[in-house]
Amino acid sequence: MLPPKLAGGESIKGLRGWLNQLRDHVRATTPFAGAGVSVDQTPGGTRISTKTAPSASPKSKAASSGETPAVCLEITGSSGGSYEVDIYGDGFAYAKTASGTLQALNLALASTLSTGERYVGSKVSIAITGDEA
Amino acid sequence: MSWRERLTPMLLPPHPGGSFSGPLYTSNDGALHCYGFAGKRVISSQFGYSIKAAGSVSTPNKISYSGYMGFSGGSYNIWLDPTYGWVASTLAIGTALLEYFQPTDPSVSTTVGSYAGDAFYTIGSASGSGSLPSLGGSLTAYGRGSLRGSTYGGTSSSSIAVTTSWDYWQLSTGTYGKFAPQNSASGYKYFGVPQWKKGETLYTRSISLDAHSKHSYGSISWVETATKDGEPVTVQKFVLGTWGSDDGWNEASSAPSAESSWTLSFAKNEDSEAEGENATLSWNAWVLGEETMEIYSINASIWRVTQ
Repeated sequence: MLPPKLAGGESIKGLRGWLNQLRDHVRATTPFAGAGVSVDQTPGGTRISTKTAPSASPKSKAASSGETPAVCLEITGSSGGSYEVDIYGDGFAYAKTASGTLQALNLALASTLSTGERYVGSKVSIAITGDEA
Repeated sequence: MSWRERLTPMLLPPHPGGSFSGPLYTSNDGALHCYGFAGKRVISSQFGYSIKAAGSVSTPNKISYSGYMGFSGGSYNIWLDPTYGWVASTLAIGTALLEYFQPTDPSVSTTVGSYAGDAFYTIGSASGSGSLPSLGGSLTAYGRGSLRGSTYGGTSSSSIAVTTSWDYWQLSTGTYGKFAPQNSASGYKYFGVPQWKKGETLYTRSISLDAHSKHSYGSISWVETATKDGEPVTVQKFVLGTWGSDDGWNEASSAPSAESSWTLSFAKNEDSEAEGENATLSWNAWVLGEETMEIYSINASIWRVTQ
């Protein structure tokens, strides 16, 4: 059941019950499982947002939020000390979803990965820099 | 061209001429590497210097032989043999070598006969353990085994000259900047992006170009066109501030030169009474910058070919 319409001028403390009632109403009426509504009270106001599946906390070099933490990759070539890969965001059983670049950790510089090999990789950021005056 | 960080820094056998150090970067076309070698930052297509034997260049092959990388690709393979030291040979690299003296008639004399075994040279030594020249140096390599001849304990009449070869670029100090050509290399190469400063504010050149093929410099960017009084206006200036602002702004027609200061003139609207000064950015340094690239990584097993 929806909470009553706000009259305005309510205190933060007084809004707690109103927000809880709103939360319960949305939860009860949201048709899909595994999701819901997130109601956050912050110093700057109240944020109501759709709640999605939790994601791993990003580490210092990890992918930005909202990215798949690990994806299936197939090597298609090499360039610049890196490998070109096709990305299968939904798994190898489905069509490729994008292309990208791969580096292998702990691989001796004399060693190489071959085209067609498949791996599960994680997204990271590497530094790049320029070269000309 | 730009440089990409390598997540795995330097998994290489040591080079006899100096140790490697990171950080390791590779050009985006894969043609060049930037790394530390013997205490200096260098840019090169290979890892360490090559060895030239009898005029033929063999390059570092990144594979360990008795603990050091070998050299291949020329007329002679060069590697560290556990018995004879640094050797040059047309035999397969890493071959286990043997030299022995074959007396003509052992019952008469054990020192009359000839040397036999594999055909190879020891570098810098006629009868002992071989060594490699340092960068720019040269040594004579003497025939051993079947190349040594008949004089017991003698020096082979067969010898080849061994020198070094390397075209590379080197930075005198630091990590980022202008690398000077060495040996037959030509031109200068750069690793890093130029940075200027004004007070505490830094202005670092972007790596990528905008839609008008211009770099940005921190908060300074190229303004191609703007709108004034509802009409499009051609600007074509680097602008610090907001072009057309009532408070004025600073602008420059041309991009700055590295290692020089950059002055952006004060400008204002014709009807503005704003007052301001030219902005002079002083040269700061070559730096890594803060731009990144998103890639994927996997954790491969360490795998090395060794002898």
